[in-house]
Amino acid sequence: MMKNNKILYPIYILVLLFCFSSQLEAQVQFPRQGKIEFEKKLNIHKEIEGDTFYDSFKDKISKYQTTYFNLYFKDGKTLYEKGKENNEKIMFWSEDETTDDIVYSDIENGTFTKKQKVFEETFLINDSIRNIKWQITNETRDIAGFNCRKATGIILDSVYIIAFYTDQIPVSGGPLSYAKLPGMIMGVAIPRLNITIMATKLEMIEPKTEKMIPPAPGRAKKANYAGVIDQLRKSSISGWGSYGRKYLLKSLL
Amino acid sequence: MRKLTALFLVIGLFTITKSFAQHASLKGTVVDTTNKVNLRDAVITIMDRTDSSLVKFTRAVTDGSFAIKDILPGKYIIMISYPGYVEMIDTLLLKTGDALDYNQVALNTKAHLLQEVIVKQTIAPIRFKGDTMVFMADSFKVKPGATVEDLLKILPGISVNSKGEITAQGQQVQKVYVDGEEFFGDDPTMATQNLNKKDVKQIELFDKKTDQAILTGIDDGEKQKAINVVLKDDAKKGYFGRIEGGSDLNKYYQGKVTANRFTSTLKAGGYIGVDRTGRNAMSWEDMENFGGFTPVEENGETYLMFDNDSYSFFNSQGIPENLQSALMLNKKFGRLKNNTANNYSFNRQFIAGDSYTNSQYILPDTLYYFNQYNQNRSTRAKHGISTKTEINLDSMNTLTVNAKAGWTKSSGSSYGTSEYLSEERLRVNNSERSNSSDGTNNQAMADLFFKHKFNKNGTRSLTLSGGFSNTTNNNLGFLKNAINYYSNGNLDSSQVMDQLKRNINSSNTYKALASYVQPLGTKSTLNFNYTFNTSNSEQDIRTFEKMSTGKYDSLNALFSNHFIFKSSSHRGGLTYTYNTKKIYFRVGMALQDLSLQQTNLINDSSYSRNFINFFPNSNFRWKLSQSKSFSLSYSGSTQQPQLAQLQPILNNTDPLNLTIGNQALKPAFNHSFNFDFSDYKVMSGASKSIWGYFNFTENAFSSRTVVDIKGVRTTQTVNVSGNYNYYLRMSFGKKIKFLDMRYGIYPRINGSRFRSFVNGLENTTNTFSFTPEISISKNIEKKMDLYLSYNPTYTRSSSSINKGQVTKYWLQTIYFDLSYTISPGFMLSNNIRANYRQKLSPNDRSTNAFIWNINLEKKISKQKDLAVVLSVNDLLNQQIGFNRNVSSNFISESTYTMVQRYAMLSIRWKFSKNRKQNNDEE
Repeated sequence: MMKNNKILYPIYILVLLFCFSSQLEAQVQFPRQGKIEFEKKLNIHKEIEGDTFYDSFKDKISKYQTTYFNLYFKDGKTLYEKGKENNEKIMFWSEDETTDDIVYSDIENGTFTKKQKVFEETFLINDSIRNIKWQITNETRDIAGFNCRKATGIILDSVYIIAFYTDQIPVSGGPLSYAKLPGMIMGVAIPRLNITIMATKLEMIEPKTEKMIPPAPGRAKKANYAGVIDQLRKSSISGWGSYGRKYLLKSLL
Repeated sequence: MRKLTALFLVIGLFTITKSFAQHASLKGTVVDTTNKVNLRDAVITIMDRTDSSLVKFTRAVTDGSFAIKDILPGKYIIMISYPGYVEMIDTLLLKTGDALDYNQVALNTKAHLLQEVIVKQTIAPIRFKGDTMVFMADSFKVKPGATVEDLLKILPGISVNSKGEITAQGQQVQKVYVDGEEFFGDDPTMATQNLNKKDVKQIELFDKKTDQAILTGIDDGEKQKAINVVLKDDAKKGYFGRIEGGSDLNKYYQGKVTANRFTSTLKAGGYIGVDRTGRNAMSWEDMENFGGFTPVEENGETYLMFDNDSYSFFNSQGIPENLQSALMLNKKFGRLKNNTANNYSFNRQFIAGDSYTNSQYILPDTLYYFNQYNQNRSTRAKHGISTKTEINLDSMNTLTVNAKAGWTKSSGSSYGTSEYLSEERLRVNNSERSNSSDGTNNQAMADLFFKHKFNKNGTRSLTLSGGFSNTTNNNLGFLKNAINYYSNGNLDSSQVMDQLKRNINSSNTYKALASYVQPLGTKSTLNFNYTFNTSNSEQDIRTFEKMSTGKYDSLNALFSNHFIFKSSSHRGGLTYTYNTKKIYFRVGMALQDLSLQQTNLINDSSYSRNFINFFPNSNFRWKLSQSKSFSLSYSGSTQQPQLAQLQPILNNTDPLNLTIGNQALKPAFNHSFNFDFSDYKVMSGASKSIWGYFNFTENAFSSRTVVDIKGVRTTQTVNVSGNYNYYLRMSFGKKIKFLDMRYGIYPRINGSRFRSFVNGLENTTNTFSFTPEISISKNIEKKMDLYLSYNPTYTRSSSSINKGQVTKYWLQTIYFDLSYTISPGFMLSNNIRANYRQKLSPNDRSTNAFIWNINLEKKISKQKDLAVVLSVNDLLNQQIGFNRNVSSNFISESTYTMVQRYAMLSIRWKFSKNRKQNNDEE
């Protein structure tokens, strides 16, 4: 596949699928700490489908808006923040403003802290990790060299979400604050919002202890999830029609 | 899930022992019996049997043991998995207090699993198209709502495993295309699992060359299996359009028909509109549908350009009769998505109207009056064609051709009288003239652009371009003019003119351009450009006097001439751009060497001038946050005098207004400063912005006017210094929470200084105006839109020539818009513009007007595609067609014909098939 050249498989995590060894230990490694790079893609062509404004120059706009994030994990804690820069500019399309957001999750306690910018407001959201009724399927696929199982769920009442998790990373975390599956979530797809967030590689590094802390509040406004929803609903975004509703959903992922 | 369980090998025995806990629990140990290893970190997942939703999970500890407590009684599925091993899946029934012990759960590596695959085959239509094998989707029956993957699974020779990986004819399929394009990333399952089978026309299976081979053109012989999912035509084809028409059953009407057809590669459309109201121009929606927008990228900034060959139909004066029509065909072709856009248009406009203008010129020692009456009729008809074709030669080279041609026929006639009165209202002169002319204008232009990218993302590139344009004008007209000159109110002399004028002029322009962009690191670029421009135009004017024979055959040599103008320029420029997410900075300079030459073929004399022109510019923009930015820009440009300003051609079209040349004219240089700060707080709905500019011109072109004793005005272009103008606008907006409304305060000022010469005196006019606008608005989605704005403007104007006289007045304007949805599909909209102008003297005629337009729209069909619209233009019939222009040394009032009150009943029908509508629409 075309993407293969982009994905790096660190050799030290090579999984020995077939172990005929007579040794007493299994040969599979279970990384308990490290850094996973995620590639977030927004399908712009899908977003603008049917929008007559873009019709006449659709070909001149990139099909995807790509941004990168890193997920650090260690001792049952995860930190999700912006990864490498992608300086690509897309005509008549604003930049992904979620790149400055930081999500710290404490998997064992089931809580997360997210510093999120919504236009001029910065929130520090403290809440428990969203309970999603995950339905486990029998489909599996390979993401960044890991065999992942597909699970599906519904968030925000009606938004269908697909997650791919791997048994092989024994940390029940994932990108943003998606978690609570029996293994690390290596990929998330939200078809209604035309977004995919897929792992591209795992680096077996030990994240620095000072990194694995909740984002500093600074001047951010403290809130819980319900509080943020409430504030967004009251803001002028609610007057933007269908675009506003979509923006609202995107801000609440 | 049934399938899952069926596939399963369960090894290991379990016994059930009762415990006293309320909830059930289970435990066990996961081992690899073959290798005698405890499988630490194996995952034990408990799912609900009804919907396979996750209930609980745990991982085995070091010795492979696990325990799950507190499970509510119920029916479950248990799955025990370990990377590289075959999962154990079993059903589970737990009752209150159950404590299940699995003892040893043995997993086997995948290598030990013998897979038995049963392929069910349905014999069905399969065709071969060259090397491609085509499966007709409708011939394969699958369950309703099935995906493409479900379809693939039952196609002969193709199998799909649990990972979604597709194997065809024994080889793994590397790529899945949808209509020949990659779908949602490069992951084949995105297409196969997300597309609905019912939209699929056929599945094509073929061997694809590698990307490398396609790019290099060198066939390395390697082939990959690929699948192309061809969607049914009706999933991507459609049409849409609109028919509307209305009349007041008397003298006003307007109608419009648009129809568009589209497929994934083609867009064709037609547009025709007629009206007698002047309010039928292409709307934004029409322009979007017509596909005329082109994005333009320049120096890292992008904007939209609408390139449609129509002319303005908005006329405030006169009653127009308009016809506009256009045809359009846009097509994409070839593997590299070449694009061609072609247009044909025909526009015709007839306009008729009368006007009276009364003016007063005030000088320190005297004043005079000038009154004019004019009656105009004109017709213009134009055919136009245009094409824009973009051909991607390969991924690095693009060729673009732009060509346009237009043929215009026009004819017009006018009749007018004028009189010039002295301060004592004594006649100085009066005139009566009539004019008629017929003419043609033909234009053609073509440009060719070639762009070469040196690297893949195009940051280093070279653009070469060449083009020409040609214009030919032919005009034949009659001019009759009778002027009487008076002295002390008594007829002094008369001048009568009856002439035929033939005017032919043509011009050819050639230009060439080279532009090279060099990146400096990732954030900066340097652009070098060079433009060469040469134009050659010829103007031949012949004036013939009417002889006693009644024929126009005596050449008037004074007003006949034959000139050739040549102009050529070299322009070189350099621009540096620095662009990051937060900061955009550009600085550039261009130098132009321009030479102009005018040759008189009749007396064989020639006149030429050379100019060096400078064009500095810079722009700085700081994006402080997503909704807060600041920018500052400067641009400087040289304006060189026109040849007609340096050495005008004698023209007697209006003998009371003469122009003389000024060979000492220097080029003017204009400095323009702009700044802009805006901060919009989305969450709170508060906004702040300041915007302003300041322009000043060195050696600005102004006029020196002398009115002689006979009332003949002679004008010459002269250089003046000290001319400037400025504008400053602030805006503050906020939400009024308890009313759910917004209010805004928009104070703005603008001012200017303009210097000129009147009858040998220098006149400096200073104008200043201030408008503290306030507005409120309220919006209830799909229900109501309200906007009310109050604009009081104070104007002060003074001129040095009339020191005692300062003009000061208030003009108050109110705008009110209200649209209200009475019931779904029944909408009322009001639009009011009211003007109140302070009278400068009690005798002034009032220019106050209250213009109220109403629109009532009712959708009368279930599909909401048919609507009846009742619109009333100018309900109170206050559109008076009156305008007043006042400054301290000049007052002018004019009255003219214009479209007045009418009530129009229209019907509109919108039709569409397969067109996704924006959710906000209706």
